[in-house]
Amino acid sequence: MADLLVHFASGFAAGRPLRDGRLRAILYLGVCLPDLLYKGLLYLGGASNWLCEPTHSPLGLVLYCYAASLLFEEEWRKRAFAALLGGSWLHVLFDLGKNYLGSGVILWAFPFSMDRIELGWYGNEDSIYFMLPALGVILLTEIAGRMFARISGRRGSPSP
Amino acid sequence: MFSNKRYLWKLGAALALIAVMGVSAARRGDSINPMLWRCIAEPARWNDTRLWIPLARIVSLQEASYEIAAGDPEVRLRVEGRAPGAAGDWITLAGTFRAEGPRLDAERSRVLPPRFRLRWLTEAVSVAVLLAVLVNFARHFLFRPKLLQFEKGD
Repeated sequence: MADLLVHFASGFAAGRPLRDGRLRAILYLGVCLPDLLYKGLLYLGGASNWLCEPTHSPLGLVLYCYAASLLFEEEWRKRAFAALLGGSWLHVLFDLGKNYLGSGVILWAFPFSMDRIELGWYGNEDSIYFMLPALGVILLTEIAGRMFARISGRRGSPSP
Repeated sequence: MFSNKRYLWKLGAALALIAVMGVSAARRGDSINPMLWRCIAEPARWNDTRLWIPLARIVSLQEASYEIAAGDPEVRLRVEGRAPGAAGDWITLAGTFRAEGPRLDAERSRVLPPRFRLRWLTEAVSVAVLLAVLVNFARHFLFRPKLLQFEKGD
């Protein structure tokens, strides 16, 4: 979880238009879910790195999010699954941009292939440069959301 | 799929599939980018394997090669090619492991800037963000008997 602030900012921008604060709360959790699962399995479970890799693969996340959605009450499960999966895929999309010197890290077609891909746009150590812009995105999204709510006549837009 | 019908079966099946998926990834990934100490321990087995070493320190420089120390437990390895930095610099590199030597034929490498030492800061911020997200989630979904009682009584 080297850069959860950036991941959260992406989820915040994507989820702000949602009216239901509960759905937004699940989406924010979804954005953190891949790293939460990876680090949890790695450090708390003592698992190997490869055992944790499905937590950052699109199809692997479908199963994790489905299992997590079953922990919600029945009428919430479909929405919870969609919000968790949407947030998780957004996380993987951002991680895809990292630079691993061509080795790749996202198992994009797991379990059908062990092929790993990366876009190589930024190094892991560059995450620190994105922290302030991420805070800016969160702030601007919140301001825009409040302004939109005021313009459209809605009052008391729930904050996240 | 999302109903309460056969709930435990669905949850059990999902958890079982997750476990199978993890074990499958661990088995199939075992031969991909192995730890450096494994390559040093069995050079013939890992000959011609592509390696990515996320963090290594340049120990010494020669004319056409250099030596790195990397991994946990720390091992040393000769790398063919021009060093990307000076002795003592931290680098990340990728290349092909050769049993002869053993050595690494470097293909790509770069010196890590000093800011890589600030990883603890991003980790700390990440933990704070995660806590905030969990608190926000709990605020919406946590079962609060006192609140229910109040609503009923009200």
